[in-house]
Formats: sequence, C-alpha cells, structure tokens
Amino acid sequence: MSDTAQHVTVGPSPHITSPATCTGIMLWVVAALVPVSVWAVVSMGWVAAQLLVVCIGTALATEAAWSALAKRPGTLTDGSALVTGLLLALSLPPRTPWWMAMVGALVAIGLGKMIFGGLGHNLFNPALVGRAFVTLSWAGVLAGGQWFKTLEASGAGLDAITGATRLGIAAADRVASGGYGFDLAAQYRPLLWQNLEGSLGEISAALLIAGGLLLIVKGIIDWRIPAGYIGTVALISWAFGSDPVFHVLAGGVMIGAFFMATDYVSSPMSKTGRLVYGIGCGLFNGLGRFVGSMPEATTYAILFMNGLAPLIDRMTRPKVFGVVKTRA
Amino acid sequence: MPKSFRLVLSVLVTCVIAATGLALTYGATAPRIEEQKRLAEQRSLEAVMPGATFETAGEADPLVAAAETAAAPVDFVALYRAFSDGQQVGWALRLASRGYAGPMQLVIGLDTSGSVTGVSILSMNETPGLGTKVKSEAWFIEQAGELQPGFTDADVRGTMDAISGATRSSNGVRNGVAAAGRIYLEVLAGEEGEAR
Amino acid sequence: MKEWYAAFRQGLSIENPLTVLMIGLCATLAVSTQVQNAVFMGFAVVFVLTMSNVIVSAFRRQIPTEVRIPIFIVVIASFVTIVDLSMNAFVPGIYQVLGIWIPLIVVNCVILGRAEAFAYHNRVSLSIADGLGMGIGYWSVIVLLAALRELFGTGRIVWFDTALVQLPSGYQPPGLLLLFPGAFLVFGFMIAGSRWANEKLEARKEARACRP
Repeated sequence: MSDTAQHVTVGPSPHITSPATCTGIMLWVVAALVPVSVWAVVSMGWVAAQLLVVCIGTALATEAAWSALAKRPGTLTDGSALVTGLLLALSLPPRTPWWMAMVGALVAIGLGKMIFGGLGHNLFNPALVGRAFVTLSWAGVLAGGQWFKTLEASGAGLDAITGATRLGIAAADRVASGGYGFDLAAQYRPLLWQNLEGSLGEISAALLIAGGLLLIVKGIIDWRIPAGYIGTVALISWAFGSDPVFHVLAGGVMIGAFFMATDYVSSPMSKTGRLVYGIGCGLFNGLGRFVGSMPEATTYAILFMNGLAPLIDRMTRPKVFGVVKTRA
Repeated sequence: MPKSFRLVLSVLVTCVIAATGLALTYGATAPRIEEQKRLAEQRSLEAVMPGATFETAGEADPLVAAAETAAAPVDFVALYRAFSDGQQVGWALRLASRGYAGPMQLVIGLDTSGSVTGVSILSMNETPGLGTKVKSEAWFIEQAGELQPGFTDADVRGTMDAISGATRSSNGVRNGVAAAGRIYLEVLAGEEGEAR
Repeated sequence: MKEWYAAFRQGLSIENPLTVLMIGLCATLAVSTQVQNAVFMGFAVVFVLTMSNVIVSAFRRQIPTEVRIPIFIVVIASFVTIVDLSMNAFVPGIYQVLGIWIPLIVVNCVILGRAEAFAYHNRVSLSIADGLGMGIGYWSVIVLLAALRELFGTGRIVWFDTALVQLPSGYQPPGLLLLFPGAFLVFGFMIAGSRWANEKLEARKEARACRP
C-alpha cells in the first residue's frame, strides 16, 4: 500500500504523456533528410556541403542571437532551427553564393520565425520565407546558368539553356513551340536517382520519397498532405495534357509535399483540413507550372496555403461532441 | 428658406466654384501639356531615326487599319512615315505593349528594308529599378538592331535576351518589337513606293 | 502661437498619418520605390492637404453638416486636379511615373480624414498648422521609406539621372525591396523604429519628471 503511494503524483490534467517531443520530431525529420543531403554532397561536390554548412550555421546562430537579444529562453536545442537551415539549403541550387545563402537563413529564422515570437507562432514556413526572399531578390544571380533560367530567357533554342532544369526547359519549350524538346519519360531515371540540374533537394526523388514514407510510418507527418499535394499535381499535369509522372518527380514537388508543406506550425490541424490544404498546395503548384510566368511554383504555392491554413482550420473544425450547434 | 434648398444650394455653389477654378487651371496648363506631349514624341522619333522628318499617317490611311490588325494583341497607336531629303527612308510605329504594370508606350523605327533602326520607350509604369532596366540597361534595346530584315516573332525571341528579374517588362518590349515585325511583313513591305 | 505649434507638431510625431495612424498607405507603398517620385508625391499631398484644410476651415460655418462629405470631396478633388494638371505641364517625367497615384490622392484617407476631424472644427490658422504638420509628417516618412528602398534595393539613389549616393559596386541589391513585399517589410521596420524611439523619449520624459 505504502509502496504504491510513493508513485502517485498529484497534478492537473493532462495525465497521458507521449514520448513525442519537439526535439524528437525534429530529429526524425533531420534523419529523413540525411540521405538526400549526403547524396547531394556526394554528387554535387563540396559546394553542396558548403551550402549546407552556411545555411544550418547561420540559422542556428540567428536563433541563438535573437533569443539572447530578446532575453527569451534559448530554443536552440529544439532542433527547429536545424531543420529550417537544412530545408533552406536543400531548396537552393548548389552554386548559390555563400552570402546569399547566409541572408536567406537570416531572413528565414529572423523574419520567418523569431519576429512572430518564435517556434509555434509563425504563420509561414520559415525555410520557404528565406527561399522566397532570396529568389525574389536575386533572381538574376540565381538564374545565371546555374538554376532555373526564367522561361523566356531560355528562348526557343535548346543551346541557350545550358544549366536550366528539366522543368525550365519543359516550360520554355511548351511556350515556344507547344511541345517538349525532349522525351519526358527518359527523365524518370535521372530525376529519381541523380538529377544534377536543380537545387540540392532535387537530387533524388527516390530518397525524398523514402524519407517522407519514413516520417509517415513513424506518425510524424500526416499522409493526407503529401497525398493530396502529389495527387493534385499529377491530376493537373494530366489535365493539361502533359506527363503526370514527370511533373511529380521534377522540381520541388517531392520536397515540398513531404517536408515543406507538412511543417506543423504552418499547416492546418484537422484531418479534413490537411487534405484540403494538400490539395490546395498541389493546385497552385500545378497551375503555377502551366499558366504561371515561372517554371516552378512550389515556394509560392505552399506559402499561399500557409496563409490560408488558419481559415481552413476554422472551416473544418471537428464537431465537438455534446455541444448544441448555435447559430452564429 | 427650406433646409433642403440650403443643402442643395451649398453643394451647387461649391461645384460651380470648383468647376471655374478647374477650367482656369486647365486653360492655363493645356497648351503646355500638349507641347510637352509633342516634344516627348518628337524626341522619341528623333531617337529611333536621327535626322529624319516625320509625317503622321491619318485615320483614313488604309495602312493604319491594316497595321492595327497586324499589331494585335499589341495595341497600335500611330504610324509615321520618315523622310530624308524628300525620299522616304522608313517608318516609325508607336505601339502600346503590355508590360508588368500597364502599357508601355514604344516608338519603333523601321527602315525600308524592314530592319529596326531604333526602339525608344516613350512612357512606362514599370517598377523603378527593376522593370525600368529595359530602358536603363542600353544593351537590352540595342539587341533589336541585330534583327535581320523581315524578322518574325520567333526571331525576336531568339535574338533578344530578357533581363533577369525583369522578364515581364522585357517581354513588353519584345512583344512590341515582334508586332512591328508583323506590321512590316503584312502591311508596310513594298508600300514606301507610294510616298509623296 | 503655442497652440499653433502644438497642432503642427501632432502630425510630425505622435499622430503621424503613416507610422501612427497608418492611413493612406496604398499610394505610399506603391510610389516609394524612388526618392524622386516620393518627394513629388509628398509635395502633392502637402499642397492638397493644406489647401483643402484652409478652404474647409474657412467655410466651416457655411458648410451644412448633412452634405459636408460631398463638399469636402469636391474641394479635395479640385485641388488634386490642379496638382495633376500642373505636374503634367511642368514635370512631365515625374507625372508619367506617378501616373494614377496623383488622381488617387482624392481618396487618400489622410486628406478627407483631416478635413473631417480637424479643419471642420478649427479655425483657419490652426488648420494650416495641422495641414502642414500632417503633410510634412507624410512627406518625411514617404521620402525616408523611398530612400531606404531605393538605396538598398538598387544600390544607389538617383535624382533626375544623377546618382546622389552610390553603394560600393560589390553590393548586390536585393530586388525584393522594390517589390510590394519589400515595401511592407521596410515600412514595418520603420514603424517598429518609430515606436521604439517614442518609447525611449517617453521614458526619458518620465524620468525627468520624477526627479525632484
């Protein structure tokens, strides 16, 4: 009797504890991204490693500095800054100048997260805020033969687009001649295993899918967001008379669907809401590719849906059992 | 005096005073505004074909209607014949092409063979510092000079590179140049014989 | 005179139309991409604001309450049209760039707001002070905003084709600052800065007041 009494702690609810902690979840996300990052470094060389180090280092430093300056408890160990830095690096092309990556990470953590009050208070995915800032600010530098050349810049002739991504070429050719300058199906293999044309995270769709599935199996991300996202992109590509498999594998869809859109803070909480949100991301990403002025639209599609997430949550709030519905 | 009458009267009086003031201002500024417009157009025409004199093609001119059709979707504004020593040396076209922020007024000079002699941006509302690079970065517009006589839309796309970060503004200019090419091929080629 | 100065100072700091009242932002964010444009936009606002304040205040006893808003609008619209025509005639280059934003001063909340809230209830001299204060408050914020955006967004500040300030050529300007998100970003920092400065000032004033 006295033996049990010692083990009873009296306290307010909730009494059920879960082993899932913020740090734990973040570490699983990092673990799921490690294969892609390592493979990117192996394939693209030390520039990729440098980019990873700069982004993660700046992200951590910004978080630490901000916490110290704002006299808030340090949140460095929750791993969220690590994930933001890593995702930002993966979303940038390997030859991004180091200072640009640094600004991106600074903006991601500073303006994307800390200025709202830190983790959990931000409206938008911090890594994508950083990426959007960098791409909108230095479109010319990033496009200069290393990354997505803007679709018009690549012109009609294929010789003009060395360094552009498959997606950029596809978009430019669609505009210029109404067809594709290359066989889309022949691109499946490089896009799945080793694609050197895009940003770090586009190196291998297969590794991203594997990482995403790991997170789904571990219950860290909800399958509804990636499923809705990827399904909608495929559907739109099909509707526009293009190859759905190519469009799902190319560009930012995989990393966006599994790792960016699933960010806990900036995605809806209800199950239906997550499905709606995933479909919305896929819709804008797909439409952006076919009717937008840029070859890829992952960043803006997800940021836009981030902004709608609170509304989606409000609309899809689950019914509370035992409460009579009142007229608003 | 009934109240409603007073209300109507006060608004009326305000309007009359305002209208008089505006009429006076308009009278004072209208000639200057016209003059400024004429000067700006003159400067643009001079820039695209130095040394020539220009004659506007009137509404009744059959070329104008044909050029309007050929220019679509770019808006045709005016057509000028360019003369030098009494000989027609080419054409100038004024077109309104859609940029990033509204129409850009372009003046494009063509010689009798159909080569571009110059492009000048009369007015635009592009983002200062980004879209306005189409004007401030001289190489962009000079690319139009490399076009071969009888150039087509595809030639324009192949020859003129867009400015990174100002794609939509660059396209405004490129679409204008392409429209000038279409007008030349479909309407102007061979027409200069009729010059007075 | 003291009263006049108090009315004048309101618009500059504690009731600044842009950073504190946050009215009339639309045109402000749109035209503040170049110092040159902002300067003329600011002048247009100062002129319209002061003149409409004067007229509204001078005839405040004659303007019936029921139809005051239409009358204010007619007065404001007239002054805006005068500015519009004059700028078209005398500074056509600037007029081209400012375009639709000049006619839109008519619906700028700052101007109708001051006519309604201040000029309609105060005598002419105070209304002039209010118009000038609010106008200069608007002018300084829009010019500062434009200076920050132009300097850091393009690397230089240009005044009629002459570069006034030029950052070292190694500086690669982030073009984002010239776009709308950049306008909100810079403006947000400006508001934060002015709040911070005001707080410091208040704190110092309090500290001084507490001293025996």
